[in-house]
Amino acid sequence: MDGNMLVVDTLNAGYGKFHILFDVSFQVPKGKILVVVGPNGSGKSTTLKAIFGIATIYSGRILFEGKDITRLPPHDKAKIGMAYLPQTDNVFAELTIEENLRMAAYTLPREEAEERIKRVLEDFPMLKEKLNKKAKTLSGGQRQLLGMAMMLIRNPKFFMFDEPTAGLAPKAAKEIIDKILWLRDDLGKTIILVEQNARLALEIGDLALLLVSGRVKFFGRAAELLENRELGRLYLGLH
Amino acid sequence: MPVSLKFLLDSIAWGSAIGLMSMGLTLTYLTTRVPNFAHATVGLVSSVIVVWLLDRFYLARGGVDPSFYVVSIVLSFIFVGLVSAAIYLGVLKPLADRGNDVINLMIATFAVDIILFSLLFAVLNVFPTHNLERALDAQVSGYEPRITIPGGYRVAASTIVFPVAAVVLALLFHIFLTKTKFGVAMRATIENPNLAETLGVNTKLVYLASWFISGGLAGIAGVAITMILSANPKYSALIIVSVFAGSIVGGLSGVYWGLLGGFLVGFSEKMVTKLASEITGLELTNYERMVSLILVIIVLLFAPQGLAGVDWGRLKARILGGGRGGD
Repeated sequence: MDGNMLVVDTLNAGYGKFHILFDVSFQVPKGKILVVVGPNGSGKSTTLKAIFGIATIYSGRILFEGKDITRLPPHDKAKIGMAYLPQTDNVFAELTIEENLRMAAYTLPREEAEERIKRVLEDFPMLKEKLNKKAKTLSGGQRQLLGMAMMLIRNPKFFMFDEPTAGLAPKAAKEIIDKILWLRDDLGKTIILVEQNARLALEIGDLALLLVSGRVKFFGRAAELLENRELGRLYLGLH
Repeated sequence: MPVSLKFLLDSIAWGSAIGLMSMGLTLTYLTTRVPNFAHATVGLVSSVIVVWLLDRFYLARGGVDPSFYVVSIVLSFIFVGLVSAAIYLGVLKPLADRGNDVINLMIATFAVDIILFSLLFAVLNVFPTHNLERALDAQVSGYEPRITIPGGYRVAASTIVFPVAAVVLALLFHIFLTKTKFGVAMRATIENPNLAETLGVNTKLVYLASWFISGGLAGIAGVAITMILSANPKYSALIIVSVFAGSIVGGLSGVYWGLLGGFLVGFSEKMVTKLASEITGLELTNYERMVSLILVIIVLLFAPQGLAGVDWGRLKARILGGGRGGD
């Protein structure tokens, strides 16, 4: 009934026996950006991996458009309109750009895949010239753009980005952030963004989730967290 | 010439069989990280198919004709592929899903090997034959057509058929890996299974397919080995050493390198022991496995990543540069 795209309910998750997330709950409304912030090792990436089903879920529930997807295999999550850009290794270095794009269109029928690839290449002209080059020949910023192009091909409703600007030059980072804002503002997509630059994140986010040692310290409006001097000083290096 | 053309062709045929096995072993190692010690025995499952085809159909019709090779290769690929996929689904996947490490999985493949070996032995032992005297140790090559080669020698047709088949299979596999969606997905899964999953690739299915293909290739190699030696699973214990040696020489990082590594190991086993025997006058042809293991040591010492890890461009430049007197 509500306008939530994603609901995470008392999630406990980790890797094998390493329990990392403790009773994490939050919601992401349709068409909004949720930014996940917090110190290193607080479970930000694990949150995304748990939602996509790559980390181990011990208990809790994840609802996507009202449907329980807690135990859905990752490749089926891709089919219902979820997309995830990992922080590192987010393209296939040994495959060509074209093969990378074809993999990104894996769930689509052949003609539709060709058309979507063509359209995405118009949005990312840089990739067009390098179609037959292996992805490992790309620079860091180009790889992130390829990773993003790969997410867009399936035209998903929901995006998760794990520190997409890490290690990028300011210009390349801005290009990525602009694309993310374009996704929300022009295409009405729903987004979770993990970002180590807390100020930048809180300025572009609608909602914010502050994780500390795998527990939720704050969940609410991003502007509110930005103004919260205590949390900002303690955990985010702000103020 | 210390070796005859016939011996050269026999060595190439043997190398091709080992190469096909090493190729499959490398594939499942790359996808599921299982060092499969049952691989050679799995391949020899096709000895039953060979004996069955020969006994029921071809001997009744008067002998082996070219269709025998096509039928035995296709049937073995499918049947042995299914056996291999069943081993993955029934034994290795459940163990891996429960969090067992590579050592446990490897030991499980030993168990599978022993079980399968006993089953194969039992089946061949009690196999009701109509035209053959008995199934176990049936010498298939005796019924094969002969091909005359330069020098006046006559070789069994399989000596020519299986090297050609190995090349054709490698080409087909290359087309599969580069031109088909599922093949590209297999390469993607080998490189980064999590990323492949997030893009919608069912990596579990890719793993299963890799076990099917690996088993199928081993099955074809098994046909070749049955033809070259005889129908008996006991050979698997010897072959598996060469197959692992071949995969290690190849570098365990690419299927074609596995094929090449296996070929080199199989080929050198025959060639080196033969040459050593000719030169020393001693009977050294029983020491084939020593050659493969010495090759492994040499490769691990000088090219720890195997043939795949060698910088061929640089090596060529160095050798050619040296040839010009050094500059």
